[in-house]
Formats: sequence, structure tokens, C-alpha cells
Amino acid sequence: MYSEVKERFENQEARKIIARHLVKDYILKEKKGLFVRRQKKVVHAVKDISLEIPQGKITGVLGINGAGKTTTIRMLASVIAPTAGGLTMNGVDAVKNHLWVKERINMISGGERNLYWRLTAKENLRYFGSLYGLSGAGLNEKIAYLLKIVGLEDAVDIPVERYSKGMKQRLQIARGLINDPEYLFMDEPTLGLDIVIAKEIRKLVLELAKKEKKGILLTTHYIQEAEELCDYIYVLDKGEIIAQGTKDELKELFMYEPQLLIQMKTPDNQRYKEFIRAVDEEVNKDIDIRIEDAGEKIKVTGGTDTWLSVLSLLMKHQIEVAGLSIQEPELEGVLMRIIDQSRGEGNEEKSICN
Amino acid sequence: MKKSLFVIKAEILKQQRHDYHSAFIWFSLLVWPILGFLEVYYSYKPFEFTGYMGMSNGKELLAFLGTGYMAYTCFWSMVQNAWSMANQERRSGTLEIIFLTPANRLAMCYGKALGALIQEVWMFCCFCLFILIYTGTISFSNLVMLPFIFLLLIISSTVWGGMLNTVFMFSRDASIIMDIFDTPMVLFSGSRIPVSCFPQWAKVLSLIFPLTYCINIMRFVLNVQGRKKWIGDITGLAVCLSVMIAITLLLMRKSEQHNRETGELQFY
Repeated sequence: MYSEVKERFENQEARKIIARHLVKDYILKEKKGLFVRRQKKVVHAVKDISLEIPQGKITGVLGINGAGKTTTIRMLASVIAPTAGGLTMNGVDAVKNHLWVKERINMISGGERNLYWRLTAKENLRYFGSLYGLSGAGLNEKIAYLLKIVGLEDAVDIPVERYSKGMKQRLQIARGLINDPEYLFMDEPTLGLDIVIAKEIRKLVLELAKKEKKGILLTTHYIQEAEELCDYIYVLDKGEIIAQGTKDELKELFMYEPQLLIQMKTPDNQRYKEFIRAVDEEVNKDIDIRIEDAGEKIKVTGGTDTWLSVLSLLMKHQIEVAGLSIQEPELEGVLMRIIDQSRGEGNEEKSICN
Repeated sequence: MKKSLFVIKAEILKQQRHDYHSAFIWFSLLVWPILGFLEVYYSYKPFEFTGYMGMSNGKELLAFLGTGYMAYTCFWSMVQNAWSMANQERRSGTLEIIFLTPANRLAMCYGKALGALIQEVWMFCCFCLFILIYTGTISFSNLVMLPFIFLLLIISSTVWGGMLNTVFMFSRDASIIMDIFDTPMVLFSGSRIPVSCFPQWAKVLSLIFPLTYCINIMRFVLNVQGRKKWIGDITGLAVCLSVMIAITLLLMRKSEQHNRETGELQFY
């Protein structure tokens, strides 16, 4: 297998995790009553997911609760086996060779679990390091280095139960890096953390991908986080990918263009009313102009040509403007629109891809 | 092999750090067994010693109970530890994280058992050793047999504990094992009551438990109860340990396969 892997490594394209048509079904036993036999029910947690995680990039998986994010990440991390579909890591079958895969990956989850609370940070890391076959001075140096980069060098000998939530999360990141993984799976790593700690962790994640060239899969509920970190985003809903692309591609795909926001000075005078009528007659045929807050704000989408038409009408009608600004669309809006659109379309069009 | 030894060492250290000075262990594996020991001793003591079953005075009874209790506590600590650690590891989410590593699963299970044994039963073993020295069961003439006894207890208990650890990895509802093994193991293994007192059906049942052979060998080596034969016990123990290792290997493979299919390691 070594020569096979070496050959594939020489090809940069092979340095990625590739999932093809992953499916995960669980069998649930439903309790119907005290004397009624339990019935089996198949739950399709993941229906058909194909994605790639290249090294040196942050791949985002977004979706609302129950979308299948955690099941997907657990399959990719070889914690659970897919019911169907293919999964390769650097060209090697990851389902058959899951122990080989486990040497090269690690997983970090949000929350305070996955650590031994009665042990100190150093003892936790020493234990998990030993499970990867590390020992002696090499392991001690690595522990010291990791505790330094996560900012816990002053709390190494304190039991984890005395740590704050943020400290526990940082220790989890150190644990996730103990085997120097090629790929890191992060399941909502900033869940429940305050802004300052979350920002520090985001910075660290970015450095891991860009400087240390680790392939990172990030699931998150925080759209801002995905927008700031992810190079490529998959949007999941009901166990399927309903959209994918870079954040800009997703915005473009869903026609979320920048908006020109015009703040009016005197929205209730005669000239303003004539301007609104003119906008309706001359401009508002193909583009979206929304008048908000009783006419105080006008939001104009579309390109610069549209904006120029509206501005020339403003000048023509001598409207006094209090302010002009351009608003960039947010990914959150795009995400909600993708999910709404996907659910609205039902089964007619299953996936929207760039 | 080297990596497996690291895993075993890590498990022993983790147990030691995790359970150090735990009140649960002090009470369940030191205070309560001592009280149980005294209860049985004072239950037998009022009766006249006739030499029946190799006990002709109070000191011989103490030696009988000292050997029985020492071996039983080693085995019982394995049951208790497998249950409590599996429960804690599931709750804290560390069980799934352990299975995310490529560590040798067998080394993990035996490491957990060995760690628990070293950490949890040394205090009670000291008590039993004191009893055995007091009764003259252990003297200068047979002091050399002590390492053999420790080795016998360590190997047998660890193999037993490793098997129980795999059972608890298979299911979070395996706590029934606590009930299944407690009373029958106490009764049939001969730790408190000589097996030779039993009717035939109970003697057959006693052969299921590796603890029975372990206690018999200990009593033979220390000349308690005037035991004359031990080849049958050594063979019985070897068969029991081999079967337990085979069950452990099978369960380990099956449990990982089962958990990869169902994802149940995260449930608690």
C-alpha cells in the first residue's frame, strides 16, 4: 500500500479527501406501547453527499439543525461507516482502511466534552498523544508547543474541570493537533464561546489551513464564521447538498447583488412624490427598488447602471439626500434563500450547484 | 508492539490520575470488603473447628478467607471498573475520541484493566497480605512464592477485565453484568465457602469462573486447606483465559463494526 500511496502523493490532485454519493441510514426502533413489539424504522440521515476537502483549504458545511452536518463529518472522519457511497483520502479507500485514515486525521467538536476533566491539560495531551504512538521528549515538546499556540501555557497543571468554556475549547484544539493531522474536522468549534475567544479560534483555524496546509472541514451555525473562513461552502438540507460554491459564487448564483442605500432628507415633500412616481414609471420595470421606513430609505439593487438612473432622477427632481451607502449582501440571507428555494422546489430540482 | 505498550502505559497513568484518592474506590474496594471479610469470619468463628475442609482453627479460617478475598477483590474490581469507566467515558464523550485514534484496541482494553487493578486493589491486597503473614500462611520459607501469586492474580484479572471492557464498549446497557457476576461469583468461586461443600451441580457451575481456579492455585501454593493437586486447576485456568482472550478479540472486532454502523459510542 505504501508505494500506491507514495505514487498518489506525488500527484497534488490526490492530496484531498473525496466523498462520492455518501449515504447514511440508521435503523431506529420505535416504541409503540408496553406490550407492542418495537417497530424498526429506517432514518435517512444523509441521502447523497459528494464533496472534496483539499489540503490547505477550509471547506465549510452549512445547514440548519437536522441538515445532516454532524453525520457527514462523522462519516468523513471515519467514526461511522457510510451505508453507501465512496470515500477516499489521498487516493486510498478510507472506508476499508479506516485505521490508516485515523492516523492522519483528527476531529474537534464544539462544547465541553471529549476531555478528561479530572486530568490536567498536560495529562490529557500526554494520554491522547500516547494513543498515536508518541512518547518521551518528542511528545513533551509537542505538548509544550501546542499549549503555547492555544494560549494555555500558564494553565498546564490545572485540572480541566477548573477551566472556563473557552479554555476547554482551546485544549480541544490542542488535542486535535496532537497527531499533526493532515485533515482536521471541526464540528461547530466556536459553539457557545464569547466574541473574543471565538475570534482567536477563528484566527487559529485560518493559520492551520494557510500556514500549515491542513485540509479543514468546518461545520458551523455562524454564517459570519463561514464567510470569514471558508474557501468553499456546501449547503446541506435534509441530508443533501442543495448548493455549493465559494461565498461570492453563492451570492452571485442567488442574485444577491450589492444594494445602494439612499437616505432621504425630506421624504414627505412634493418633489419627493414626483420622484417616486418617476422611479415607478421610468426605472422600476426590471429592477428592484424598495422604499422603506415611510420613504426615508430607498434600497436599489442591480448594477451601477441602475444606480446611475436612480441618482439622475434624484438630481432631476432636486431631492435632498442625507446619505448614500453601498451594502454588501450577507451570506445568512443567501443561505436562507437557498433553503427556502430548495424546499419550495421540492423534488423538482434537487441540487443547485455552481 | 512498542506502540501497544505506550497505549497500556497511558491507560495505567490515566486511571491513576483519574481515580486517585476517589472516595468511591476507598469505600467499595477497601472499607466494604474488609467489613465483608469480618462479617464472614465472625459468622464462622462461633462454630467448632473440626478440621473439616482443612480448617481446624481460627487462623486457618483467616488464611482461607484472606486468599479468597484477595483474589475475589481483584476480579470484582475489574467488573466495577469496566462499568464505571465505560459509563464515564461515554458521558464525557472520550470513548468516541479514543476510537477516533488508530491505537491498538486490545491494548486499550487490557491497559484499562491493568490500570484499574494497580490503582484500586493494592490497599485491600495489603490488608490480605497482613492477614496471611499474621496467620503464618506467608513466612520466610514460602516468601519466594509471592511474585508468582501476584503474577497469577495480575494476569488472570487483567484478561478477565479486558473481556468485560469490550462488553461495555459494545453496549451502554451492559450494567446487568454487575448483577450477573456479583453474587454467583462470590458464591460459586469458593472465595468464602469451600467449593467442596457444594452439591455436584454447584461444583459444575464453579468451573465457569476463572476466579475458582485462581483461588485454588493460590491456596495450593500457600498450603491453605491442605490442597494436594493443582494440575487440574492450572489446566482449567489456562482454558478459561484462552476462551476469554478469544471472546475479547471477537467482541472487540464486532463492537467496533457495530459502532461504526450505528454510531452508538456517542450515546450515554
